[in-house]
Amino acid sequence: MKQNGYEEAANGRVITIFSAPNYCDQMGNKGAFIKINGSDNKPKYTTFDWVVI
Amino acid sequence: MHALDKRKPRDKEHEQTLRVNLSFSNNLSNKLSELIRFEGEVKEKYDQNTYDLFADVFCYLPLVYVVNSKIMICHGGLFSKDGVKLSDLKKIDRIREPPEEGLMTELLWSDPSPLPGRQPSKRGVGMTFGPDVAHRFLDDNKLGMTLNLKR
Repeated sequence: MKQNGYEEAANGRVITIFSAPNYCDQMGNKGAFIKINGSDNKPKYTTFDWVVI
Repeated sequence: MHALDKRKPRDKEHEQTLRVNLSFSNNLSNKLSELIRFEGEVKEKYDQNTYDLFADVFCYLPLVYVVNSKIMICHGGLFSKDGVKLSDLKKIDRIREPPEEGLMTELLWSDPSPLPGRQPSKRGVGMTFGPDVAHRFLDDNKLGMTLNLKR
């Protein structure tokens, strides 16, 4: 589980994305997704607190 | 299971297509489906045949993607030994349940760690890998980065 929805390691070369906010309805973490533009391969993160199903 | 948005550039505004690529994650294995109650839910709402179909289809979901030749995407992480090449990953016998150990299992279970080198994983499967391991693997394979997708 990643509290902020994502985590970078190895100077940003290893990225973990955690998509489930408030994991198991109790962790209070953010979820995140990532957008990568093919022109520069730079990650742009969006985090969110909840989802509507 | 994770979805990747591969929208085409907006050259033809009204003909934009959306492609979704699904990838395999460790919780879709038969063993974990049972643990997370997916198996029970499907059997409760449908039947054994339906669950068997899910299990079969999951075995065809890719373990790893490489985007733009630079970004490797998988559920878990890297490997218990140095020198693994993308070509080794292509040789994995994919259409099967994950075995106890090996490249397929490590792709699904390993985690990054701030500690250098490799350490045993709290998960009991795979291991944690440090920044040095990641840099070696990525440089070796001319990759820029690796993305690990957790639910």
